[in-house]
Amino acid sequence: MKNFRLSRAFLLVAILTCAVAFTARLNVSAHEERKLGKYNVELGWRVEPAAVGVMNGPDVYVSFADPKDAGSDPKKALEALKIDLQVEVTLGPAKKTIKLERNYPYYSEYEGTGQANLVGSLLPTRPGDYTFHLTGTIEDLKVDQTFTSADKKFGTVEPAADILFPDTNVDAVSLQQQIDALKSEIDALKAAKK
Amino acid sequence: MKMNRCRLPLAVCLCLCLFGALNHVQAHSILVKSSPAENTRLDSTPAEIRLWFSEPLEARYSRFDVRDANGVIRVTAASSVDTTDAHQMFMRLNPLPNGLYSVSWMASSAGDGHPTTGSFPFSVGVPIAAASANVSASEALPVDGALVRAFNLLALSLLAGGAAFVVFIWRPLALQSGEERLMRLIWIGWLATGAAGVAMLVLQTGLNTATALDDGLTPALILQTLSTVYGLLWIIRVGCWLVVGVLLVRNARYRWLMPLVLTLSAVMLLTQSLFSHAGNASERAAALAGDWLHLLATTCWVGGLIALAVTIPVLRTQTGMLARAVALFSNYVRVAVAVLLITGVYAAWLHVGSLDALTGTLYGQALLFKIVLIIPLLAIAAVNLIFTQRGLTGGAEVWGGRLRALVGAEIMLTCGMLLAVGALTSLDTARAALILQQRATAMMPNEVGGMVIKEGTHVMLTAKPGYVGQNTFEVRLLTLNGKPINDADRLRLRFDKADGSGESELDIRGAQPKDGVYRVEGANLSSPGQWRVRLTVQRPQQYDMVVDFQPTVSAAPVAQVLDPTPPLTERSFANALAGMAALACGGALLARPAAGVGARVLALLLMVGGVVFLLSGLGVG
Repeated sequence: MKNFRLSRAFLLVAILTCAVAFTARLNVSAHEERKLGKYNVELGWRVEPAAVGVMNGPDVYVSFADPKDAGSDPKKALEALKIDLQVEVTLGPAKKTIKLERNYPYYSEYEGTGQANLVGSLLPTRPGDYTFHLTGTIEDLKVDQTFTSADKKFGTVEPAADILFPDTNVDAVSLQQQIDALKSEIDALKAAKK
Repeated sequence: MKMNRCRLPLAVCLCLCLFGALNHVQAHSILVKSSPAENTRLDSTPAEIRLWFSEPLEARYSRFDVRDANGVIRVTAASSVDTTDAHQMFMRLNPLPNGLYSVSWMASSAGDGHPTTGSFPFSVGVPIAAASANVSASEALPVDGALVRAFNLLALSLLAGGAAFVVFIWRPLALQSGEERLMRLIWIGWLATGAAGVAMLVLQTGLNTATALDDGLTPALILQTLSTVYGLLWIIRVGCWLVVGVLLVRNARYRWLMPLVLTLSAVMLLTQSLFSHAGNASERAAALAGDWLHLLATTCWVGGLIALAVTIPVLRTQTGMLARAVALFSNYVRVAVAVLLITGVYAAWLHVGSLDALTGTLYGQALLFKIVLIIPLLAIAAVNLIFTQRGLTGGAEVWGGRLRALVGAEIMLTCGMLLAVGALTSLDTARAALILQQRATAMMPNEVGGMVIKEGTHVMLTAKPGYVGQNTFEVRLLTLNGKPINDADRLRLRFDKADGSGESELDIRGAQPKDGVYRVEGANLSSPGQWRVRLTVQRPQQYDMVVDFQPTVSAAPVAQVLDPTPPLTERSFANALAGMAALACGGALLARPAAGVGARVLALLLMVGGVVFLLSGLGVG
């Protein structure tokens, strides 16, 4: 039992390590682009392919749809935009709201006006098709958009087994699931014995 | 040892961390659509393959190739990014042998240089469909196509049949008034024929490109169809149609133009026959002659009936005229029915050939439906021929009213017949469909798939017949107690192979499963070898369940080549028999003293058809 607790502690430490490492390291971009008012908004995963147990999160780029709106200094214009966005991430019954923060670097040159990058942090614990509900404001523009990863726009979250090397045939999350399943079976057997 | 195991997750996560840091592959250039579309079955090699992407492509690093069912690249021509629209990649194709192919693409976004890859399957020719055990699905009746074809026949009937009625029935009566009614009918037929022509072109384009009207069927694709054989025939038809329009305008002044209208309408019918089942038959000349005569007789009968119904009120106002008109029309229809019976029996032998094919295929069943309608139609025609005509000649006015009701009933039945013909021309012939069925039955099923227990659920996947090519994928979801799970609102099947080829996807949404079984069809297992099929199950208020299956798929056994063409001796016999019947019947009807001009023209055409049958039976042409 002690060893079991110890392994969970190691797992937690490992996950946190990954989270810190990825937050500092990620170079990301968006995948599904939509024109909202005078802005282009792109949304996707910070890291693709997205996999269970890998630090990730929603990744949003905002740019001017019309370069004229950016004026002579697009960087300054984008950095001056008042952007207040949040993402409600849904998988099955689980929901989590993530406030989007400015990434570093916030501004990146990309085609005409460049783009501003906002990110949130999330570590997917289950594979599947996640839904991102983006809400908030960009200046006076109200944003209320839903993006689903299953619609061939951006990647779905894959089982970690896809990228394990050497192949262990089991990843940490599914291992935990198996343990939980065994535990419930043992509980059921104990209850039946009584 | 325990400590080592405890450290495993840490090692794993560090590996993931390293992997994530190095891997920034993004899915930017998304395949928006393709021509041919995914899982399309084509009758022949398309002129080109064209892919549309969501972003402009970097020409230097974007490409695709075409692989056959064995994974061998079949096309050596390079694909190119379209210089006029960098969102598109295309490849011109030389004719490919029948088989299953997969298009594997790599697209590099010109915007950010991120590469994306993918593939999709399509097939060329009928034999691949035979690899599917699900023959019934490939034999489904395309209802929209059948309706368009039936409407086309009705329109041509109004035009050609109306013109024939004017030339052969109305004008010999030498009535001073009433023709304007018929002209209105012919104009309606002319307009409807124009509309039907456009609908037929759109329908054919949709069939060529496997694109639906509401799914990217563009004017450019439609114009592309005009460069095909069908397009040439369609242009001839439109040319005739336009000239007919001019002739109809001038008809008021030059009454001799109406026979020309009839002749051009017959040419328009010929363009129909040239692009039909008859156009692919073994004895093409005989099949075409038979099909054209059949169409001509049908339009003369159907259009004539409608024209008669329209003119009955006028004819009743003049003593004895209705009786004369009915006598002329009966003689004329007598020949039309003879033509229909001879050419119909010939076509039934040519395209059906056996009782099994008649009862066991959709084509055969549509033909049976048509025959069922013909029986009361012939009965009504007989009543008109024997009783109505006599009654009217004897001056019994009551028969005028009865005639109108009988003609109305005949028109309704003929409209039903036209629907059956629309279905017949939309389906594979019964001979071909029966062979597909026999081949599918002969092929031993080799179902592949597997069963996994995950998260309290039995998940079973089966691919039938389990060979490379078209398969029916059946997913069965059961609780551990064996209770079916019917509430999954979305299932996704993603296919790929270890070498990265064959990536494709199938989606099941909004299914209404029975016993927890969800089905979808696709040709996604496009080459032999081991595949990974990743199933994602979405259920309301539950976490997605992701399950992998690794079926090993082999190429379908080489099917015995079966030719739907009847043997030579049978063909010779049938052609000779049809020829003799046509000559004898045509000669007898031509020689009848009471036969009018219309009946004689039809009888003469039947005799010409008989000569063509006989020559075909002798192996000439």
